[in-house]
Amino acid sequence: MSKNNKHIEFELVARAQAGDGSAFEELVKIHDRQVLNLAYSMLGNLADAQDVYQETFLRAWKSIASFRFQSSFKTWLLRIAVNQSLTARKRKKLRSFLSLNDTSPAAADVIEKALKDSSSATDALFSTETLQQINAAMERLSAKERAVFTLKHFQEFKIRDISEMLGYAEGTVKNLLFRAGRKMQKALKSYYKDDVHVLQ
Amino acid sequence: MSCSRSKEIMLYFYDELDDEARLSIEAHLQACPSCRKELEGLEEMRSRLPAPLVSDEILQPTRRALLYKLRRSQTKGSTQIPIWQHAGKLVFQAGLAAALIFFGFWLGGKNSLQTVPPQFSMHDLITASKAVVLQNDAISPYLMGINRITVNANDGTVEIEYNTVNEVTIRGGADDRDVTIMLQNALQSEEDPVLRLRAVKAVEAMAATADDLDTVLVDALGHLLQNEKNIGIKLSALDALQFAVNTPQGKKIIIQTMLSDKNDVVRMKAFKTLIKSDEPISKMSDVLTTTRSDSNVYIRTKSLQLLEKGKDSLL
Repeated sequence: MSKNNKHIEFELVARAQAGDGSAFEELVKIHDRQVLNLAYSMLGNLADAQDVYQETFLRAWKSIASFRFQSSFKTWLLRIAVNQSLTARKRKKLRSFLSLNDTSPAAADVIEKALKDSSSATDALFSTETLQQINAAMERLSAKERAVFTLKHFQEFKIRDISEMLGYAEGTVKNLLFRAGRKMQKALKSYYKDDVHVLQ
Repeated sequence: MSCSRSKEIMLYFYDELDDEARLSIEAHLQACPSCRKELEGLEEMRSRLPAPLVSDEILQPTRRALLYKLRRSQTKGSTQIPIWQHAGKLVFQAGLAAALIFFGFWLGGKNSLQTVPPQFSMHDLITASKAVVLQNDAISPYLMGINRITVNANDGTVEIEYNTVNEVTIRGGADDRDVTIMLQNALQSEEDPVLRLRAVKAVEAMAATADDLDTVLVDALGHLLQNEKNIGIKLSALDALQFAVNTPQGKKIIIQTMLSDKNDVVRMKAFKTLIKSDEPISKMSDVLTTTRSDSNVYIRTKSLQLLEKGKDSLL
């Protein structure tokens, strides 16, 4: 962010803190794409991501007075979005656990099916299959790994920023990212093997 | 068996290494098949896992829904029921009637007539956002607390709604003295920053419609800029003052803020407001010579630029 943009953002945040709703709307317009993309990567489902998007901004508006300019506004906002996404996942898991009629196939089956259905995953930038594939692979990650992996791999934040955002030491972020990367590759590799087998 | 440097490969892949570490790992990659395989695996993962991005078709309606909710949450709790008003004219019948009853009780409780104002005017009510003191007695503030100030963007009419039981609302235009006084009072409200902000916003909207700002309000904004702690309110006050930048009084306040405010953003805003005035640079050279040594780099650079190359340099 350029110096001038920083000043503009500072001004908008200060105004929003004084109760100026239109300033907050400007902040929404600056950051909302990233919030929605982040929630989408974390949850793999548009409807859930839209809920998290809304909840994130409503919470930010309610608690903007407590923002102390110790981090950038974006970092503060995305921290709320990550926490909301993790909570949404927990809620969803609990719901599906409690549901007796849950017929959703196991994650391993989903990934296998998704990968096989996707004829050319490399150019399918945003197909349903790709999303299913990401989703299924992400199922294998713990909550912390998922947050770190999303912020690094999809959102391309620096490890330093992720550490600030999530409140983990940089070393911890690196370890989580390393573990997440390994798990994701493993999930994908199991498919490639089958693929080679089929081709032979 | 993976190499002990596989974690560094991941950092290399995500561009997290400094120059020295990157060169070192690139040299290592030449010699280590295990690390090359690690890197290939990561690259393959990237090609298989593109970032899920939402399109504008999805973002726009999602944003609209959010903004609708936000606006609703902002207006919740402040129902607006303007009553007792005639077209465009201030009518304080409710307030006046109640005040007269109050006065009646007050007078009734006294043995002798004391200093009742010879004419009990509407103004006594209007200015009563602070306690009105009548000799030894104080009438509790009658129109204390503004619930909401709205400005009609088309004709600049201001509507001020009070937190009174009988929901008094006053309405008037930019040239309406009573409205001006009420806004002046609101700008000086010591208790409530939200009220001050609302008043500043109302003044700005009113000034934008009339393209002019009443001197009473210019003074009130000046007073606010000197005493206000909230930066957001100060910035809004400067927004409003841009409509008075060509008046001597307005200019003086803006310059004062630009030279003395502690906050960089406020000083920058004052600076930007000032240079929008019609005044030629030759007449501003004293001020610009001072701001040339401001602690803020933006103000310093722009001042110098203006002094050397004139206003056209900023276009």
